[in-house]
Amino acid sequence: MNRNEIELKVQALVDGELTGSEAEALRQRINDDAGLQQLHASLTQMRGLIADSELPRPLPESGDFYWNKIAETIEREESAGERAAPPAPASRWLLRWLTPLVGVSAVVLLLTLQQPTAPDLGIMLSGDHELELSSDEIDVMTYNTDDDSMSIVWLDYSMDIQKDYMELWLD
Amino acid sequence: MPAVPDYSTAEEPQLVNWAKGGDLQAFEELVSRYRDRAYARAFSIMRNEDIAVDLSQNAWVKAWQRLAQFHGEASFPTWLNRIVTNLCLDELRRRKRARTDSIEEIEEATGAVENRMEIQEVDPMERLNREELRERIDAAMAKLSDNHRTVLVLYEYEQIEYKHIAEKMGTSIGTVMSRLFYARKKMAALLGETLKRDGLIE
Repeated sequence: MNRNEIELKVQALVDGELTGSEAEALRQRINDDAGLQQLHASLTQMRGLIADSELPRPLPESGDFYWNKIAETIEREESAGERAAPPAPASRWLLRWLTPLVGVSAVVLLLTLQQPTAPDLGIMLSGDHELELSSDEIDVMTYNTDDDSMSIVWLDYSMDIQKDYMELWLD
Repeated sequence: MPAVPDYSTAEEPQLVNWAKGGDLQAFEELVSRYRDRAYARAFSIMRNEDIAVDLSQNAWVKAWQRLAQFHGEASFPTWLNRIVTNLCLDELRRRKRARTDSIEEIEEATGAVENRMEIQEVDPMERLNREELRERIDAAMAKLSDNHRTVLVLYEYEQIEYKHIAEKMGTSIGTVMSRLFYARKKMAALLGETLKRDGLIE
């Protein structure tokens, strides 16, 4: 430990930041070193001086003027908060990303089932099947054409989904 | 018709409870009681009246928004002053990002200037009354760098441990110890100078 490190330890001792055994060892060292004794005394005195020295300081402007700005800011931010959507909890955050993912998965499933070579999954679909989502936040349009063996599904979803649940099924 | 509460004579916990329930007048009474303290803390760190007023007002707004998080572990003004201090630290960080480290800041971190100072044996208590002494300490604090002054405020006024100061200032415990050491050394030197200038010591 160099001199500077020892000085910082002395300060830690004065500030009560050292543990019992460490503090005891340092006290022994201070007893044997006049320079450290002087430093210890100086730091102890300085600590006592500053601790209670914060000046009371009156506001440089009137209390009413000061309060009015606070009140105006509170009112403005509360109005803005009411207009904005409430912060989304984790489950909603998950749904925000899960919803389009489920939608896209459904489309892929539909297209797979439409393939002539698709394995028989035991799901019978009529020619006019539709994809339906119960979430009000998501608009779904489907277009089926038997001639081209193709289904097109159009999902229109908002990024601020407020529903706590969503059900997806094939009809 | 329910009676209007007498805010001016209400106890602090009652005012806090009313404010938590959305009573802005109760909150105004709290502001009236503690605005000077909040401003004084912001000024202690920032040393600029306008900035201290702005930051202390922002702290009141944040306090209103976070009242539900106040559970009375500390007193209300102590809790409020922590918000003030945090906003001041944010402001200092924002400023620091906007400039590059000067030579003075590099010297400050290593104690290059303070290392050349002799250890001052100052006993101003013998020569000054308490108020005079506070004035001189305040004047000396104003001459410290932002980092040195902030670490002193956090340790001496807020009574925060080294490790928590390190977290707040985004630095290591070693740096906090070093800044605190050199800040005290510089304070002792500045106080010694002012006492010498006034002929109070030789």
